[in-house]
Amino acid sequence: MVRNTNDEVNNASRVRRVLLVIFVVFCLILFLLWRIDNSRAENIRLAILDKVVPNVSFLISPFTVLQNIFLDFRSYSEIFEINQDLTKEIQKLKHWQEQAIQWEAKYAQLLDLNNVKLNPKLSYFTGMVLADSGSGFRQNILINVGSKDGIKNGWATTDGLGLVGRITGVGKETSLVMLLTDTSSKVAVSIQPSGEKAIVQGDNTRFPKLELIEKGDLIKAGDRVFTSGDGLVFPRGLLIGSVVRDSNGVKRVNLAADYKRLTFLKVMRMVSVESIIESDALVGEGSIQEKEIFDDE
Amino acid sequence: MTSNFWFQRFFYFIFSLLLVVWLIVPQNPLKQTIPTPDFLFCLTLAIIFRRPNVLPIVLIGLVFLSTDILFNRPIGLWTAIVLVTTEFARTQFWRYNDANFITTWLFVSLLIVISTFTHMIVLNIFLISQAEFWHYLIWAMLTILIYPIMFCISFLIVGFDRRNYYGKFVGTSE
Repeated sequence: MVRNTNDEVNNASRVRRVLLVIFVVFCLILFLLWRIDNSRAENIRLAILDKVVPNVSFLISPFTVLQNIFLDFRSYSEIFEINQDLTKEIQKLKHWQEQAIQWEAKYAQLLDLNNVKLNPKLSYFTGMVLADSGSGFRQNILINVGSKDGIKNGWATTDGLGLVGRITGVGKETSLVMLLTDTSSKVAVSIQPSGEKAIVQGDNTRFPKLELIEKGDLIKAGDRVFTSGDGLVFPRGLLIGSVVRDSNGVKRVNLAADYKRLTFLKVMRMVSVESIIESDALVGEGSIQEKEIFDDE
Repeated sequence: MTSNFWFQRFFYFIFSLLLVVWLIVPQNPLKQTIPTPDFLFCLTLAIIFRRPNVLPIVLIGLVFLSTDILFNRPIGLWTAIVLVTTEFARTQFWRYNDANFITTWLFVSLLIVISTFTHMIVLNIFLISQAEFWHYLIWAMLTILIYPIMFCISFLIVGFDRRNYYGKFVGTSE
């Protein structure tokens, strides 16, 4: 009897070993395939997410409701102060609104006088955040607009105030946004008022690093960071945030977009501009850049 | 006992599903303060140390593979590491059968640290852009810290009963 059980156990463990090896090898092959043909693997992943996530949103929503209750409850305690601040703010903003309307009229008049031809304005459409990436090592979110709505890979997304990230994958009804804080996110920026060029490189923290700065001493904390439009990934002039220094003196960006509360995202529709590839063959460098960039003003 | 097993597997599956859904809820306040520890890995280890024969390889594999896909991780790598780690934990189970909680916890910590760094090293070898070293360190530490919580939750899934501790391996009870 005892021997029987032992045999059974041995057989069971043998089967288990074989199963384990098969499964592990299968996983490693998947990993290799993912590494070798990354874009196709990501497309497949997105196709799966596109099928699954909208269908499990009924599972997600109770959690969202609970969480919102929790967050709301926390903010109720400060509601009186917030209300007062907002009233003050509204008064200030009304003043600015009035000013803006007047300026807009004046601007239109002046443009008309000068007969200026503008690039088409950036139009956008708004999507809602469906899901976050669940791991601590990727900074992605899934939004509920996709190729059905005409979304294309690489388009910029903002939360209305600041840049949030860009589209890195498009499914039929969903698309994946890589946030600026992801380690593979690199954005060419220009820092105002000095006009220095740099790269904003995500490192999984709330404050992405500023790298490849030409003259670091021209940049002060509080300077504003905009996309520079270099590399034709983003349109020029989208606000990213302001420069801060961390305790080690490393320059980082305090993002303007409210990453804590990403609910609605604007996806900027980028009109593809004819790009000139052989730049020297035509004219001087400076004039080409002006043609290449997206100008949203 | 068999039907009991299926129940426990089912509970494990349901609980993982809830955990994953909770993790992908947008604007999760927890995720904005700390790098999210791997709750699922911890839970799996906790269950394996209590009942090594409840969770079949295929179930663990499928759960982790789907989280790989869902969480935008490199597909397959973490699953493979988790499978090997849990299988190793299973073979070491007899040592920790009668050990107290702290000893088990220390051993689990060791497993978590080793698997985290294997993951990191493989990503480095394949030149995949990733987080910095200290980020992994914090992540591993948090994962270790949540082990007691996951240990308690494992009671919900596999129960308090020590009688079936050896299950089929000894073949005593039934």
